[in-house]
Parts: sequence; C-alpha cells; structure tokens
Amino acid sequence: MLKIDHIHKAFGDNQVLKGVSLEVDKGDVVCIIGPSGSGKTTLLRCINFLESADQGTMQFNDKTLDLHKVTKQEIREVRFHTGFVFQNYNLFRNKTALENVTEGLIIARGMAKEEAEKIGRETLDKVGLSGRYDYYPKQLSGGQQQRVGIARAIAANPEVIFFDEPTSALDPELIDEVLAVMKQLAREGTTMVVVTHEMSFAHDVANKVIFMEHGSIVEQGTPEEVFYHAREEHTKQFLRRITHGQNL
Amino acid sequence: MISDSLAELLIQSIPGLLIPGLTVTIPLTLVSFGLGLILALFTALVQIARVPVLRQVARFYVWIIRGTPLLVQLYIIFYGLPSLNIKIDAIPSAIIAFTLSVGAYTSETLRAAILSVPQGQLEAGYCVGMTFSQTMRRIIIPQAFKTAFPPLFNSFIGLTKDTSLAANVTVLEMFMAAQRIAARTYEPFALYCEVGVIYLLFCTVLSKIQDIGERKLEHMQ
Repeated sequence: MLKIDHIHKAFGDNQVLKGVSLEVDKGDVVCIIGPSGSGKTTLLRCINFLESADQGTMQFNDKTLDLHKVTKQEIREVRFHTGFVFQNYNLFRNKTALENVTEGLIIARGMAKEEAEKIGRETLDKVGLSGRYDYYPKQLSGGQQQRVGIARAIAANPEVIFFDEPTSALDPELIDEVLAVMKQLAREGTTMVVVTHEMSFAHDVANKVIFMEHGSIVEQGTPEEVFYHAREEHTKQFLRRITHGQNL
Repeated sequence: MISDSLAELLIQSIPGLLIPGLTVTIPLTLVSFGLGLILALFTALVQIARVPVLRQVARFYVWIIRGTPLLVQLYIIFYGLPSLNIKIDAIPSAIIAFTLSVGAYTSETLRAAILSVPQGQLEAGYCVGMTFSQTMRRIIIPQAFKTAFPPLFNSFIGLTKDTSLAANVTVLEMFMAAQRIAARTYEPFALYCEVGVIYLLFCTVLSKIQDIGERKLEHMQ
C-alpha cells in the first residue's frame, strides 16, 4: 500500500537519512525503534512532507511520487489519506476538543458541519473522551490531549496513521491510556507506522519492527526476530540498553 | 483659584471641543486604524509566506514609513503632492498618512505575533489536509491576535492622539478646535490643558475597553 524507496535527507552537512526504504501493507502495525538522532522522526516527517526529502520515491496506493519534486496538490492528496499524531500533540489551541477533530473535515474536506460533528463525537467517544467535547486543549491532561490528537488523526478514516513518539512527552502514569487507544486501533486492523521508545508496545502490538541507527535501517523483521534473534550486534546492544536486560 | 470667567470659558468650550472630537477625531482614528490593520496584515503575511517581490516591497514600505516623521509624511501628501498635480483633500490626506503609519508599525506587531505561534500548529493544519491559507485563517491568526491584542491597542491609543497632527493640514479636528478657541479668547493655557484632559478621557475609555477585550480573549481559549 505504501512503499518508500531510498529516501535521503540532510540538514546542512548532517546526513539524517541515508537511503531508507520501507514497505507498509494494509493492516500492518510497523514500529520504528532506535536511539535518538537515528532519523526515525525525520523519516516519518519526510513521508508526510513536513520535511522535504532530498531524494527518494514514494508509492502510495497506485501513485508513484518523486519525494523531491512533489507538487502541492500531490502532497495534499497524500495527506487526505493519512493521519499524523505528534509527539507534542499540537492540538489547535484556539479550538475545543470537538473542533480539533472536525476542523479538518469541515474546512479541508468540505463536509457539512452536522455530519462532521457527529463523526467528531463518535471519534472522541472511541478514545474515551465523551465528556470532554467542549474542553480546550489547555483544560485537558497530556494523555487526554494526545487522545484528542489520535481522534483528530483517525476522524477522516485515513488509510495509514503515522505516530511520531506519541507517548514521549507524557508523564509516565498517562502513557498507558494512550497506548490502550493505539492497541485498540491495531486490533481493529488500522494500518499504523509508529516511531516509539515503548518497547513493550512494539513487542506486543507490531507485526513489523524496524531498528534504525545513523540514518539507516539496521534490521527489520517480526518482533520475535528483532527482539530475540537479532542478527546485528548494534540491535542487541540497543535493546539491552533500553530494556536494561529485562524481558519484555 | 480659577476666576469665574475662566471657569465659565472652560465649561462653555466643552461642546466646541467635544463635537469635533466625536465627529472628526474618533472617526478619523477608527477609519485609519481599520484600514491600517488590513494593510498591516497583508504586509505581515507576504513576509511570512515569503512571497517574492511583494516581500521586498513590504520591507521597503515599513522602512520608509518607520524612518520618516509622520508630520513630514502628512506634509508631503497634502502640501507636496499638488506640485505633481495630485491634489488630495485634507481629510483623505490625513487618512492616507495615518493608515500608512499604522500599517507599517502594526505589521511588525502582527508579524511577531504570528511567528510566536508554534510551528506545530501549522504542521497540524497541514496534516488534517488544510492549506497554508486555511490554517492561517482558522488557526494561526486567531491565536496570534490574542498575543497581538495589547500592542495593537497601544497603537490604537497612540493613533488617537496622533490624529491631532492633522490640524497641520487644515483638518478641523479636536486640537484645531482648541487652537481656534484659544486664539479667539487669548486663553491658550486653559484651552490646551482642557483639550489635553479630553484626550486623556478618550484614552482612559480606550484602556478600559482594552481590559474588557483582554478578559474576553482569555475566556476564548
């Protein structure tokens, strides 16, 4: 469904992505793990054109795009069919929880207000925020804000949702409520690409795990393969460090 | 202290000052500020969106207006342009000068306020499928307005007083009314103090409106 080929990105002299390729099939939950600065977030941002890649191609559904020479219209087309969840939530601060979800439906997609609000309420119910429709972001906890962020990303029924470290900005006790929503989405067959430091989530929920380091994919496979039978020494070292040798 | 006749003069001159104040000073301020804000928003946006050419024009405009006295600009428009066969009446001349001035100064206020909205808000707009201009209109500018509101009101209060400069180009506004009464009665000290107090009253009312506005905006988000 989504295929990325040889994506390159540099910030000045700093090569952040060195020819990364990646394939996502319908229903996949792909977790991208790796140390800070390995290029995971940049990869996700390049795929959704928040950064412009220096080279590489993207195949999305039946369309092939040159990531370096993509038009505004093509970008918008891809974004209409994808969702993005940010590390810092990035909820619209001047909009209520419900408006955060409906804004894209009404303004970008031209949906009627009543229909959008119906979808908005259903989506917020789904992430467990039934009583919070009219709350502004600053009146919500971090976990609640991120769940609104997820509701906003899934409202338009996208074909794939990108999560950029969705729990990294959260207090530890709020992480589980967000992961629970993500697990539910995975169970329903939602296609997801998740950059995360939550190894147990990657272990339990992903069907594909990608380990990145220094702008390249070092290793990929099923959670079983990557977590227990890693071929590369770097992968083993990283996993030992991040799990402190404990079992997942 | 104050003689009866002086007290009488001060009271009698109130309508003579208030009427031009309410019918010229205030409308001149409102119209110039309204037009100036539109110009400012446009000037700020072409710079933020990095529109080629227009962006340079915007910088040039801000540079010229901020770098020359408002009084000089007024004189150029009203007394200077007729030598190029461009004749503009007094009130339109004043409106043009004040609009250009407000546009230049508040464009910097708006630009800073828009840039102070985190980049993530724009990215979030993109990610739900909105365009740059949709995100600006619906998300960024409303948030920026809250930040910009106090300094914008500052400019508004400043302009209320600056309209007195229009007296120099024959606009019969509140200050010129005071000049005329002072010349007729030989009481410049009393009259200029009195007109100063009326400006102070106007600005005090505006400050109150600003307080109310800020509280409203606080509730909005």
